[in-house]
Amino acid sequence: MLNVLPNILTICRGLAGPLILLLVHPFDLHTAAFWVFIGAILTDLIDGTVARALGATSTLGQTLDPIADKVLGNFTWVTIGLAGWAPPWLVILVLIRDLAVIVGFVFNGLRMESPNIPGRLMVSVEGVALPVLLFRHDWMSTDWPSVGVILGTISLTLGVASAAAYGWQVWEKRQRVLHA
Amino acid sequence: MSAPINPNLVTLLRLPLAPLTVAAMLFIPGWKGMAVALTLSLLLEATDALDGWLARRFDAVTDFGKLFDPFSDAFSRFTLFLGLWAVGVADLWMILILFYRDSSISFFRSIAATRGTVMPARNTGKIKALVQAAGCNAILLLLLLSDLGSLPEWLAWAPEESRLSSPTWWIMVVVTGVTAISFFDYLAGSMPILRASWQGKPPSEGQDA
Repeated sequence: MLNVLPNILTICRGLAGPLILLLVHPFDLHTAAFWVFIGAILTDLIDGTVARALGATSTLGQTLDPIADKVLGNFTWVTIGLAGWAPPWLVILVLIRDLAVIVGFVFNGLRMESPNIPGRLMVSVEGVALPVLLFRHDWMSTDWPSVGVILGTISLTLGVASAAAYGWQVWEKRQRVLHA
Repeated sequence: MSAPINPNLVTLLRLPLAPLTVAAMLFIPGWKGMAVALTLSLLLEATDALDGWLARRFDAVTDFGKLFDPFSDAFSRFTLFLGLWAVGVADLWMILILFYRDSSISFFRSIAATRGTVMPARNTGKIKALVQAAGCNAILLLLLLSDLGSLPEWLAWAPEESRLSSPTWWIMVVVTGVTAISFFDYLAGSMPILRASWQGKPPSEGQDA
């Protein structure tokens, strides 16, 4: 029973995505959505650690993990886009980027390539950008919506860099095979 | 060397702390009530750690203590959560789940005892205890800081707003979720013994874990 605990955490993270969408549209509970996102991102930090500590790492967990991340991230971006808390171009570009990642994931047999450095940075920056964009309060006299948009743009740029690096790697490997 | 104080006495002295904590939350007005409640609650955690440590450190582990300590934990924790329900931080469904889990596991433990087995604490039980203790004290701290007016609106507990907007409510959701998971883990772990007992098999048939 305990060995499914990491997967339960992962599934909870995925379910948090639709929950965030529901909390904001139609219920207009943006603070609640913010707390749910914080909770969900914490499960991302601990599920892998818990799985390794329990010796319960599994192929299922490794497949579920990126799916849950994408479900959470995309639902949150859609929520933010529908609410008008980020410019539409940012939301649309992020969704296109994620669509490309999902297509790659499916064609790769539901296996995630180990992410390169810009890819890792992208995930971390996005994990900060999204709660900042969900945060709709005056606090510490900071323009949080703008901070969120800047972080979101940085994360998008890192995503493009990651895809370019990955594409270059694949192309180079192919050239080597062709010329061998 | 014998223990400087009987660990069971520490457990016994711990019993009034939780009711006093709730009384402070409900009857002492303003931030002072919450300050007293948080202090008592932290004292409760300290004594909770102390009795087990004393018993192990000074070889004073008794069968009485093995059962008295979990009883005292459940008694205290449930009292505190009822207090949180009374002030409106927790919902009734959460309290019910906490109660169902505790009373069911006492039942599993009794069945195990009738078959001469002591049901050991499972890992999810320890995680649950940790999450409940951390959650309870975090909520009391948030309530105290809210009463002091030193929290920004998005972090503070505001009874007039939707409960879902308050971090205290989400802490309770996590506490309840972890408690429910622990229930299913105990249920799965007790299944062989429950089944054997249900079928009236004598304990010697080797069915029991």
